[in-house]
Parts: sequence; C-alpha cells; structure tokens
Amino acid sequence: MSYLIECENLTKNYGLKRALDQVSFTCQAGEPIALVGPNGAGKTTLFSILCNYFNASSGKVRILGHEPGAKQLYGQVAALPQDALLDPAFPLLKQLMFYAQLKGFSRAQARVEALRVLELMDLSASAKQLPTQLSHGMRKRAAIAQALLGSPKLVLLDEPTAGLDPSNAKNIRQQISKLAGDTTFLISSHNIQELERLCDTVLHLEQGQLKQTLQHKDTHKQNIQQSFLTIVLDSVSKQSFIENISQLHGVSSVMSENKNEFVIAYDGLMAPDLDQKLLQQLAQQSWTYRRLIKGKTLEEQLFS
Amino acid sequence: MNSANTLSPPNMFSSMKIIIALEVERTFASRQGLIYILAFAFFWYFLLKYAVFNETLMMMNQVVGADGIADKLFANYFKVAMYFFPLLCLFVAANQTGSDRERGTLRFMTLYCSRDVIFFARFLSQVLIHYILILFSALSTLLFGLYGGDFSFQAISHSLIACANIFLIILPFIALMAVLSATVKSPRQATFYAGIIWSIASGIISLLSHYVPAAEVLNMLVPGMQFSQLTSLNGSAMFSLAYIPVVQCGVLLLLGREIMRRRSL
Repeated sequence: MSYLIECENLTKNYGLKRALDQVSFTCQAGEPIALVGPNGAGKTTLFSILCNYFNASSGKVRILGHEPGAKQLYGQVAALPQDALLDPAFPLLKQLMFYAQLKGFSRAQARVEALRVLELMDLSASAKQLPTQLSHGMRKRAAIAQALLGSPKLVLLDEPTAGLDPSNAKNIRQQISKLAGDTTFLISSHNIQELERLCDTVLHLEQGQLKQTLQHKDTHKQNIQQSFLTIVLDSVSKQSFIENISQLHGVSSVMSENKNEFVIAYDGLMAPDLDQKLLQQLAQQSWTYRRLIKGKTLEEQLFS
Repeated sequence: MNSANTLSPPNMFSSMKIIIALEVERTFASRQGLIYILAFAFFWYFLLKYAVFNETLMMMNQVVGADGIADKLFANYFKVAMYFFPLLCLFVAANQTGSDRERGTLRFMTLYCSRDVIFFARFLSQVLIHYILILFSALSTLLFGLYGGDFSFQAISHSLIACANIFLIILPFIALMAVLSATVKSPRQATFYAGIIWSIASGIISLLSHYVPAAEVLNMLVPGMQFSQLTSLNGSAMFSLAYIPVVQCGVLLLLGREIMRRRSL
C-alpha cells in the first residue's frame, strides 16, 4: 500500500540529546493531519527531516514512496518552515514568480500563479513590496502563499497561524479547508481548537516519542459502553449541573476541569439517546449551552 | 491554468538558468547591486588611469624605439587585473549561499530544486558577473588605448588573451568563496577566512618548502600560486598554466558540493 508519509523508527540525535526517538507512523493522502506536542517535543525536527533540511540519525522516511529531497518530490512537497524568511532583496511578486518558475511554470504563467496565491493570502496590495517592508504576520502569509504555489500533494505548515491576527488566522484555516483533499496538509500547532476544527488525524509527540495517533472521526465512533458527551454551558452552578445530570439514566460520571465545560461519561447501550435527554434537561432547567460535542474534545483526549 | 499535476519541474539546467537570471538581476538591477557596480567603476577608473595607462605612457617614454602602445598597455592591464579581480572576488562572491542559509531562504529553495543546483547555479552566477566586469575593464582599457592613439587588431588580440587569462585566474577564487560561503555564517566571515587561508597557507607552504623542497608542490593548492610565473610569459604562452586554476577550481567545487550536501539547513 502506498502511503503519503511513512516513517519507521525515525531517530534524531543532537549530540547527546535525542530529539526524536524511534518514531513510526504512516499517513495517507486526504484530510489535514495535525502534529501536536509541547515545546521541544520534536515537531520541528520531524518537519525538518521530512523537508530534507537535515538527515535522521537512523530510521526510514518515505514521502510518496521517495526519500525526502528526491527529485520526484520537487513541486509535490511544499512547506512553511519555522522562522525562515524570504529574500529581502526582491519584492514578493518577483520571489513567488521565481519559485513558480522553479516549479515548472512559464514566466507568464508564473506571474498569474504568484498573483493567485497572493490573492488567497489577501496580499495582492503588497505584491510589489519587499519582505522587509511587511509586518511579521504579512511575512508569514507570504511564506504560506509560497507553499500554495501550484498544487502540491503535501504541504507542511509549521505553526501557520502563530502570530497572526484572528481574521487572517481564520482566512488561513478557510484556505486549508478549501484545498484539503487535493492537497494534504500536515500542520504543527499549539492551537488545539484550531487543529480540532481542521484535522482528521492527530499525531501526538512528546519528548521525541510518538505518544499516540488519533483518528478524529473515530472519536465519535466511541466504545459504545464507554461513551462521552462534552458540553460547554453559558453560565451554571457547577454543583447543581453535576448533581442534576448524574441522575440521568446511564450516566456514570460528570467531570469538569474547565469553567462551564463538562465531560459526561455514560453507557451508550443503556442510554443511546442521552444527548436528547440532556437537551431536554437543559430546557427544563433554563440552562443555555454554547457547544455540545459527541465524544471528548481533542484536548481532553490528548491530555486527560 | 497549469496545476502541479500537469507540471513537471524544469530540468537541472533550466533550474540553474532561472537561479542565475535572478542573481544577475540582484547584481545589475537591484539598488544594492548598483552601489557595488558604481564602487567597482570608481576604483577601476583610478586603477586604469594611474596604474595602467600612465604607467604605460611612462614606459613608452623611457624605452626608445618601443613598439605600439597596445602591447605595453595590455601587459600592464594584465598585471593589474591579475591581482584586482581575485581581490574583488573575495568581496563580491562572498555571499553565494551563506546569508540565504542563515536567513532560512535556502529552506524554501531546496523544496524546488536540489542543493547541487543551488550551489553550482550560485557559483556560475558569480562567474558570469565577474566575466561581465572583466569584459567591461578590458573594453575600457581598449578605449583608453584608442584615446592614446593606438587602436589596432593587435590591441584587440592582446585584450582577448588578457581577458581569457583573467577569466581562468579568478575561477578558483570564486570556487573558494563558494566553499567558504557554504561553510560560514556571513559574507564577512567568508572574506575574512579567505584572507586567512590565503596568507597562512602561503606562509606555511613557503616555510615548509624552505626545509623540505618537495613541499613546494603544495603550492598547487593555493589559488593564484601561478601569478609570478604568469608575469614572465607573453601572449598565448600564458595558457600553458591554464590547467592550474582549472584543477584548483574543480577540486574546490567538489569540496563545496560535499559541504553543501551535508550541511543542515
């Protein structure tokens, strides 16, 4: 079977420090994939190996069946590397045309393509500006525009929305959602809610090891006997909510770690329609809710 | 519009052409590049006027029955250019990949083409830029010769031979800067290390060869080691030493390529 990304026992040492430790996983083309983990977990190291910025100390990596850096991958793999800056000597349009030409576009096509990706990132007005004349957020968007040139099969985005204002972060999420499918995105971020909205598969790295791989869609296909509902309410007395909901048939526990957010554990066989009963209970008690999730949030799954 | 699925990345030579075009534009069409070019023109004017032309006129006045000015003019031009252009390389060619690597720009580029393509394209860009400057210097010398009243096919022939030799001489210097640029963090460091390597290597080899005459063969490793021999040769005889810079350049490029391949970005 051909995988988009295939890593086998990937290890990277920096001197005595082990940044990646026997990491193995496979990803298939399709929905965006999230890479999560605390600072120093090895996310950027993994990205860098996938992009061939340096080699792994041991282990095997294949992207679309080829080793990172193979000529077959030019134009197929794009990336937003962390902290990389565009050339300060040339305007954005010129640089994007340069990269588009290296991707195989003719000069005239390269101009059209560069203008297209600038438009996607809402940077058309800055096309003739030098990178040094742009804000941090605009430079990041320009680098993302570079990653979207042509239609790469895999785009690696390292912290794509870090440092961006909410409106531009939303635009980037929308573009990723729009392009997902034809292009597979591998996104590293600390913003769990963002990844929850965008990604289907989650790779959780911690201290260089792959702690778990979650298929987000599978979280809704829960173990029927151990099911969960997560609800975020507007304002409620924690004690009275827990007491009230705990009495519903099939509920085994109600937990709350965040303000107004509750995780209800229940037996799905005994109470297959608990979500409806919960809504009835909310109506009876005049409690208003913001969000109701079947299953646990990604944050709960990863860190509880 | 084309999509990447119907696009195939250009071959190695086309990719190199695209990179070279951008580098030439950086030197001759960007503001920073134009400042360098103006500085070059300024220095070259004074060198040409005083070290080449006036020197030639003095020689002509001292030697009774001397031949035409062309011979002497281009002999002087060659002596000046032989030192000037390698020195220029140490500054102009010092930033082939270093700044881009430190800034992270190479991280973008390596997703579009190989490190080999980037390394050799940047080297060839510098070669092309220096060749344009050398041609400019030879042409300006020709014009000075014309001003001095001697413009002949012989002058053109002399200028072509001088140019071709300078073309060869600077190759290992540009390759040395390519190696250093792939190794160190900034163009200043590259220039500094080039100076150190050049002077220390020459010093150590001459010291060694004082005690062990066979060590003189190590001079082959030092770019420009053939300069003293070249000044005693004339015309096409100068090409008899052409193998030295060509071999030095080849060795340095292989070394630089290996460094570029292994270096983390």
